[in-house]
Amino acid sequence: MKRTLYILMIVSTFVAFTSCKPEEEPEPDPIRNSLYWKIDGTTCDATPILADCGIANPYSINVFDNHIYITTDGGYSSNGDVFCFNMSGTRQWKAEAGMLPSKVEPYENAGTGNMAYVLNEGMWGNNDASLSKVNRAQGNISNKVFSNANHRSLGDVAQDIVAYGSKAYVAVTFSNSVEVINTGNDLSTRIDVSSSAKNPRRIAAHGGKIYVTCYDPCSVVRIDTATLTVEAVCRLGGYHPEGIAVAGGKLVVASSHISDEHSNYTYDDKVYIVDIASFEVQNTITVGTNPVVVKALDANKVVVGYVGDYGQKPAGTAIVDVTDGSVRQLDKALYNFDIYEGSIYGYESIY
Amino acid sequence: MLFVGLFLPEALFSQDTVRRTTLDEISITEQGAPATLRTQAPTQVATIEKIEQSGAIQLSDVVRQMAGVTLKDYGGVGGMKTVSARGLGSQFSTLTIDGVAVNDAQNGQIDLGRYSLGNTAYVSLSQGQPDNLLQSARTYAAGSVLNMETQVPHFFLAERTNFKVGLDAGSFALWSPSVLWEQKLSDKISLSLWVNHLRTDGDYPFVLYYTGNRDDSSSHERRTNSQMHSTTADANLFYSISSRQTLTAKVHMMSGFHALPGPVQHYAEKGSEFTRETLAFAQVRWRGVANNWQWQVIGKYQYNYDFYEDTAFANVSHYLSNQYRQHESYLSGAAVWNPVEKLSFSLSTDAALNSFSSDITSNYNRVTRGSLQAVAAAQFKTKRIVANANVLATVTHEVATKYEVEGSERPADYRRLSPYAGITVQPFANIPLRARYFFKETYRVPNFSEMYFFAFVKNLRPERAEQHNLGLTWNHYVERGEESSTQIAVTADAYLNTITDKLVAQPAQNMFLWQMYNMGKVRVTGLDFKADAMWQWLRAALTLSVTYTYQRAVNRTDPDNERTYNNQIPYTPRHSGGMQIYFEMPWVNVGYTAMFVGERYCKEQNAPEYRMPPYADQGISVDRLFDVKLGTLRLKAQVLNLFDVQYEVVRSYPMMGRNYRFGAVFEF
Repeated sequence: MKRTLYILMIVSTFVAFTSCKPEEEPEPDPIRNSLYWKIDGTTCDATPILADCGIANPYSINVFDNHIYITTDGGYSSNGDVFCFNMSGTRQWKAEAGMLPSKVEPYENAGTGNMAYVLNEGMWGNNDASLSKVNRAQGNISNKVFSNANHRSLGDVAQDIVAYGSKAYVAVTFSNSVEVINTGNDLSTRIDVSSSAKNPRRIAAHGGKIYVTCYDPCSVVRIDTATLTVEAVCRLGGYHPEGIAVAGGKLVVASSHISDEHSNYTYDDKVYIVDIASFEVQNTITVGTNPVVVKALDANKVVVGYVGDYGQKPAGTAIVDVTDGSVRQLDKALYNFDIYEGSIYGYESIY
Repeated sequence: MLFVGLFLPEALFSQDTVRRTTLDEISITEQGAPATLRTQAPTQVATIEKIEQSGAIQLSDVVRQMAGVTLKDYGGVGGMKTVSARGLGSQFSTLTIDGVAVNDAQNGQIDLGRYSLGNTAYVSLSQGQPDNLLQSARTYAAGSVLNMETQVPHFFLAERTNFKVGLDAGSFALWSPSVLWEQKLSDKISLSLWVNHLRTDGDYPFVLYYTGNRDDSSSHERRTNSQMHSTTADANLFYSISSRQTLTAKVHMMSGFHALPGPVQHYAEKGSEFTRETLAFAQVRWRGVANNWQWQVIGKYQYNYDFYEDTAFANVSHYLSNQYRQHESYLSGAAVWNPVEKLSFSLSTDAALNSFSSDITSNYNRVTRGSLQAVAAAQFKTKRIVANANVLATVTHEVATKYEVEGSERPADYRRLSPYAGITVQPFANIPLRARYFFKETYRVPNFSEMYFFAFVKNLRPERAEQHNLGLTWNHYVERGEESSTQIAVTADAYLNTITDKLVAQPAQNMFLWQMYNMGKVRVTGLDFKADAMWQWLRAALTLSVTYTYQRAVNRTDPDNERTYNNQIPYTPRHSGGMQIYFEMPWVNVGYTAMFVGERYCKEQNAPEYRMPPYADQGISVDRLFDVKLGTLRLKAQVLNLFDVQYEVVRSYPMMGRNYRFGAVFEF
């Protein structure tokens, strides 16, 4: 018995030691590379932009007022930055914002000058969503303006901000909030949407109303900006809605993906067209697998970014004409983009 | 009579036991708790006496008092509690029960809240590896080893049966009854069976502060969906085959239910997540001595089942459930050869087969990993010098398959040699001062979650840790006649740890798809200080234990990143410490416990918005042992978090405020 044991041990020790070898030189980590493009909304010609901006980890892109604003992710464990470039790609300024700055939203208000809010999304479960305020000309930033003004937090994961009239509307996903912020003094009124639908995601504003996509159940919630109450809810059906935009008198809503009862994802490939007047789903248009971003290109067209299923089905970008349902695929798969003066400014996903 | 626990320098021990002999204390010496002042690896021990003094129910209650550890605590009795030692990350810590590792190949870390104490002789923590050559290769492979040693039954004179019945009760409907039954079958064979049930509603109140400024909005809340219950059964067989051979066998089963309160998310309540878990293992250990040989054989089979459900998940059916199953078959052999005096050589070899399956069919949901670990070690030992050196070989091979997808994927096989060298010296024969040093490399193969939960990366490399430790130990004992004595033991250790290829999850270009990267580098410089003292008079005794830990654990990943480089890594305080006082008097014993944790940050960036304020958690207890008919009865009352300090260990997981516990243990 003992002898067998010793022999076994010696043999397995020999096997273990002889099969060990010096560690192979590690392959370099894949470098996260980004390519920024400007795509003409009519000709669909793509031109590279921001070639030497040096930003490998963009988290969002916004274009307005003749400037391009890029935010960075800060490695998910430190604050991100906001970079401002002019249209020829020259860096104007850089400012440290909060955790995961995900949108730069300009607003106009008497006496405040050229300002923009920077929405910092925050990490799930950390309640560290926050709002920064930046002077668009110089890049002077003040962080935590929401909690400083309101003496409370914005909440857990702020997904979208839209400035509309004298207010800015923020969807806070896991706090089930739509915060209505007075842009003059940053004071906010919280609307709890949980009785209509939970997990608000993205916002579109149109005709005195705010439209908010929500995950649970998958729907669009309509909020009246005068009364600040939820007026109506439009149920979409199966998949988690993400981006929302207005074109051709309709709401265009991206329907992304959803988990089944055992964490297996199924992917949608459609945008839902919701009639604004009746507030009901009118039809759907097939675009590509897993649509997430929707932005209005002009009065009748939207640009839809879809991210694929991370496997067989690819990511892509398409222009959808809401009036006739036509879809034009672009040859760049933009992971995130913004629209400015009829052109699409975005960056690719290299997946 | 229950002091010995605090000190385990064996010289003191024997002197102490002469005067205060009980069978229990002898059993501890027989079970060989590590001699903390002589080991190369800084070692801390809590014996059953100390555990009972502190009123600990869960293993985490004991570990949080130890120096050099960071306990990540998600709050309440049911909240997950994981330990990391000296900034290494919890996956470098190995939990062993009777020297046999409890493995979780899926997550690589153990929830210490799931292990109840009660038939434990002692809990020890070695920051490094134990000195004893007769160890499994897994023990050699660990960055630090937390061991729970089962109590060996001892029978007084002609008795054949011992019973110990206990009941703990506390705030928020905490109830924990337990029964220990020890039976002597013959002079060579005895059995023990221990059954424990633990349950609580866990609905403790807390104050929710909505910003980092406590003058801003706050509200009084109650933790919801925090109830738990679990039942543990532990059966042991002790067989003395001869005076030179022993065989022990254990069957351990734990079945639990935990509601998961999740993080407090402002303005919203969720409370719909639950887990049910089963852990069952059977292990056998055979040890023997013959002439100049010693050997150990361990066999083990372990089964884990975890069921997770969310009854309000944001999908169509508003329901999500996941099931995870793990099996492990494990065999370990070790032999020590002592050819000449002072010199020993050993070989330890472990073979393990782990399999994992889940019902998440969109991921790799069936994984099998075979691993082989072998250690060749040598030890030179005199009265004043102990020198150890060993080299460990690790080889793994694994296969993963996806549901309804043909073929399989294989990550790279891992193969590596890791060295260790250590020495302990007592420079002067008549001064009980010892110096110790060790160097150790630890190699951590990615666990199944890291490998497959995120995007599958074939060339993921293991994390590597290098540890250097330099320390001094000193003890002092004075006896003044029969009536009084003083004991003092002090240890101080400075250490330098570096971690390379630290595994970090990051999105792979988009938010929905994360993957693991070998991108982190961490450097930890630290100091652990521990002092124990006991003063003993004729009918009273005072024990005092003080620990202090300094840890500068910094991110060294990217020198160009001014926001994180050289910043303290998350959840690691620079300063922390504790104090325990226990005063034994003829009519009542009084205890005081304090724990201080300095400021920490919850993110890699040490910005004010991610700062977590320091806190001090203090508690007091009174207890008394009564001699009653048939046996002894100990009654105990405790106030925990005496000053109702509101704090968080993990962001958005509030801890319990002031709460009460009462305990009764009847032994007969």
